[in-house]
Amino acid sequence: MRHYLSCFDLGALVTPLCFLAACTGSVDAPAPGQSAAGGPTSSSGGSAATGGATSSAPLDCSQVHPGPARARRLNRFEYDNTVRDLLGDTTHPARKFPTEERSRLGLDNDANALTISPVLVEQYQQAAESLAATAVSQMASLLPCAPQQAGEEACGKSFITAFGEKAFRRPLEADESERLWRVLDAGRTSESFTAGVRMVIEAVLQSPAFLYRVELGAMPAAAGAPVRLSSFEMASRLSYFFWQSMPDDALRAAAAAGSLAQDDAIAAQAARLLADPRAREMTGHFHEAWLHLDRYATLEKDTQIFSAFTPEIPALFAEETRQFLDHWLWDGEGDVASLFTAPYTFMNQKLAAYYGVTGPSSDAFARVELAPEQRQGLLGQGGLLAVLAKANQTGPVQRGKFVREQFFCQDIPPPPAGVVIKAPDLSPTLSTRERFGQHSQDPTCQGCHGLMDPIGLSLESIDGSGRYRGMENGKAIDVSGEVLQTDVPGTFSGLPGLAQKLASSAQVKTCLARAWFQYAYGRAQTDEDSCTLAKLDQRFAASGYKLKDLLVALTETDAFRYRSSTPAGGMP
Amino acid sequence: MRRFRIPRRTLLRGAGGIAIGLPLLEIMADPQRARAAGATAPKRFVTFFSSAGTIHENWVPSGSETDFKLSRILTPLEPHRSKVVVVDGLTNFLGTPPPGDDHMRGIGTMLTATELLKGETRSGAPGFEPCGLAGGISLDQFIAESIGKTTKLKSLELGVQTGNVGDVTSYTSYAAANRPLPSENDPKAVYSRVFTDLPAAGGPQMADQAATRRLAQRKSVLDSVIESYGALAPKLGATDKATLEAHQTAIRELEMRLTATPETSSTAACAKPMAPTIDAQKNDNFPMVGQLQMDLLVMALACDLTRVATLQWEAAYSDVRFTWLGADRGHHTISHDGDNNSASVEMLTKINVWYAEQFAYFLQKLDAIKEGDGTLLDSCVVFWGNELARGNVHSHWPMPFVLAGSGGGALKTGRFLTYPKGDPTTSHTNLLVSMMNAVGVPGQTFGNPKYCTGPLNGL
Repeated sequence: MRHYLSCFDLGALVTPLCFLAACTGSVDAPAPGQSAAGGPTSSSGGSAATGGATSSAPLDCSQVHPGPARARRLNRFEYDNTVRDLLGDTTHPARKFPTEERSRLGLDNDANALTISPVLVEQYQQAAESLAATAVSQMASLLPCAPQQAGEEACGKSFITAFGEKAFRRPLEADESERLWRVLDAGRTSESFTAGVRMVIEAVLQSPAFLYRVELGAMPAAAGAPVRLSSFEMASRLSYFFWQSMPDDALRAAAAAGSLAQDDAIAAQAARLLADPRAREMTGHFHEAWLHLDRYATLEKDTQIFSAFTPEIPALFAEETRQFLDHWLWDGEGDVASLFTAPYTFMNQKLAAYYGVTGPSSDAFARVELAPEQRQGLLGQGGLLAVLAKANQTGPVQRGKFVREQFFCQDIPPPPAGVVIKAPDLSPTLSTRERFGQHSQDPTCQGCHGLMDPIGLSLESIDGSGRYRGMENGKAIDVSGEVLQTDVPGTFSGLPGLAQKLASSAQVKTCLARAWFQYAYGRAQTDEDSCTLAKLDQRFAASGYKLKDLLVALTETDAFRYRSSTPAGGMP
Repeated sequence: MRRFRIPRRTLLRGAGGIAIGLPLLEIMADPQRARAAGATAPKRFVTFFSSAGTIHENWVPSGSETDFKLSRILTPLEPHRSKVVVVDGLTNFLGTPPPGDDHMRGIGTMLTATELLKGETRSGAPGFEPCGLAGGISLDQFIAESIGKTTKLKSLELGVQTGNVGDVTSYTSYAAANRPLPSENDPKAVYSRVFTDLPAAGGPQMADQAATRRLAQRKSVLDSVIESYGALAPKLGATDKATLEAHQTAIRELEMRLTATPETSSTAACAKPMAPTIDAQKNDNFPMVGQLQMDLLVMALACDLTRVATLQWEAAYSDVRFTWLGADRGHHTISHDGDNNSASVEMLTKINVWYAEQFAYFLQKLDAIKEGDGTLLDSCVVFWGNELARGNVHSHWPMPFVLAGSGGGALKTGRFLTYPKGDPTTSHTNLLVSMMNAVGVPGQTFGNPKYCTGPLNGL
């Protein structure tokens, strides 16, 4: 339900989504002067999947418009990365924490959705105790001094200063140092110096300055004026964007020198961070969320029908998609068109055998060239199409809906109340297209299914278990398709035809840029972001829609470099 | 009615300064001792939620208030009929006002009785204003503010494949407006949260010196952390300030709990359960996960580790496939089928019979645990609620509510109550007030007073 728009919500706003949303048979005509083709659509109050034109007056892009920014709590991925970089801990304690609420595109770092619950607070406490206990087992590497020589108080205080600055990602305030010293002193008095250090780590790991990214450093020049971020805040914005973790030594040094106030220094750091392997993990995490790759893990199939599908296949599917996306973005072409048309994937011997293609002869994954008339790019990933399918058959509606929602950023509502929602029964003679024929005949269904089914049915050559098939029930498969109401309208044939449509669509490129906006800034776009979005779109286009360039461009916007001095909900 | 109170001499003070009824369980396990001490069982409140409505004609009992025949769906409750109240005919009037759609309002207002907040969660059907989360504290949490203060856990939110998709459709319980309490869906995590520090039968009883010191250290740490939230929150904008204050409150409550010396001793009734292991998300594990959660919940109540709980089966819009009943489609999907689809009506009836069986299992386990002159069930008010009355028309009348347990004699059970449609005194909010009163929390209204006229007549 969270992925849908309805005409009512959008009111008088001019948008083709009104047309899309008409699912009850009474298809609304587009407003006068409006083309049925897509394109950036209106964002109502920060809705996630849309963005661009606004109902208010256009902004003056010569002025700075940062958009809203909230204190952002670390999500589970960021927490684990941060304690790894802070304490060397690789046990992923946050995997046990409650799952984040997802944004409409599936992203897990929307500041508004990162709420707090007693269970989470309890888990922070447990994780802090466990991490601190581990950390003090290696006191020598933890302390900047030897307490026996320097004296416990002096050494304790210098530990607090050094550790606190790393953990809080800025130098400590006097009251913070004082509070932490009292904790250390209590531990030292009741037990030992080591206990005191352990308790300081426990306190730091539960502090708001560690768990939240709060930006309060610089003061506005005038009341209400946008504020340039302080160097320390910029260091965190950079590291949490590219690495989803805390700043490293070089970033901290740059921040301490105050150099991150300059655009060229920010650009240099962005280039450095982008070249680090941690940036690959970040894009991997984005893909995981955007494409709902977590669903691979729970993939189940009816083995009466798909006898080759074994319990080890889902993990192989997941590895294939991970390696494909990682290679495409970082080592391959890296542009949006190639995401859909890349003529290769990655397999190991078992997966190649499952697909029935020639592949590597070991368990190691290696690049495999695809037969492009069968498979290409992201849509050629067996796991993705197996997830977008039923346990015993394909899922043309699921597939069409996914393409609309994730690639075109369009919303399809569910069927109206009272309608029987049931995939047609399996048939030994009829094709899937024939079985789903009711959707195109019944005017109640046709409104929405006309938008989904012709896309999904074009992918019928990949069965419900992700394998290629030339025939269904002994007959050749009709893979003709059509994409209505997009900027690439018209008919096409099969998976390669759909891949071409997606590759050539400007709407798809804008959609991916919106998803990245949301991921990079931890929020949905608002009317205030039109200048930032225009700049991003322009930079993305100029690069030939290369993702790596988009990542850099995301650090060059008002939204990234400034904050609003009027916070969400108003001043305290 | 006899006033129940634990005499002072049975109270101890934990290191955090909160009172714990140390020997309460032991006393309660022995009716004679309990009578002699003038002690009685604490009151408990449990919500049992199932989704997508019911099939009313197969749900509603027939007969009079005290002489009635249980329906096909409620037949599994037959062994417990003297301890249940079937409440037919109430309306959730909050199911209608915007924002949100019927499912969203149904689940979000069931325990909060407050309109949803405006937001970004959109309905599929046209004509619904997008909504945020619920707009107020839920009844269970309001009750926990009163009766949950002395137990290890103020409340326990358990789920069975609730999805936790992150919008209003996932949650029944709220600490405040916009602050949902997500259900823990994994029995293993519930176990480790609730039971790991409970001594096994015959295990060490009392904290040694090192443990006492550890508690004091923990308190130093948490005091410092609480201060740091207090120092930062006032510098932030209103929205972030509210988040940090909520965080600070949660740490305060955690501190109270952690620094109380764990004193619960094993008795015949309270035995440390086994740690469960199960893939909690796998569709076909749904029944087993549910049973594990019920077992853990019963033991958490029996050991007096909490007195307030929600057990949420599925979420609004849930598409769990009841394959063990022969369903080939998801629950929500089937619930949309028309009344002329007899196979679907039959399947939905079966699903609700199945839920009644689960409810009966839960009641039977509670009733098997003796406390004083009664059972654990007697001290509870268990509320079985739903977000809808009927799935295919998305109605909020007549809500299929069932209560069990008497709240220590506060409710007269063994009854079937019917209420006339649409009257303001038949608002489901009135039932919330009555349940709250039954477990000892005073008040004449709950949630938005516009939808409440006071306690429910005739209950």
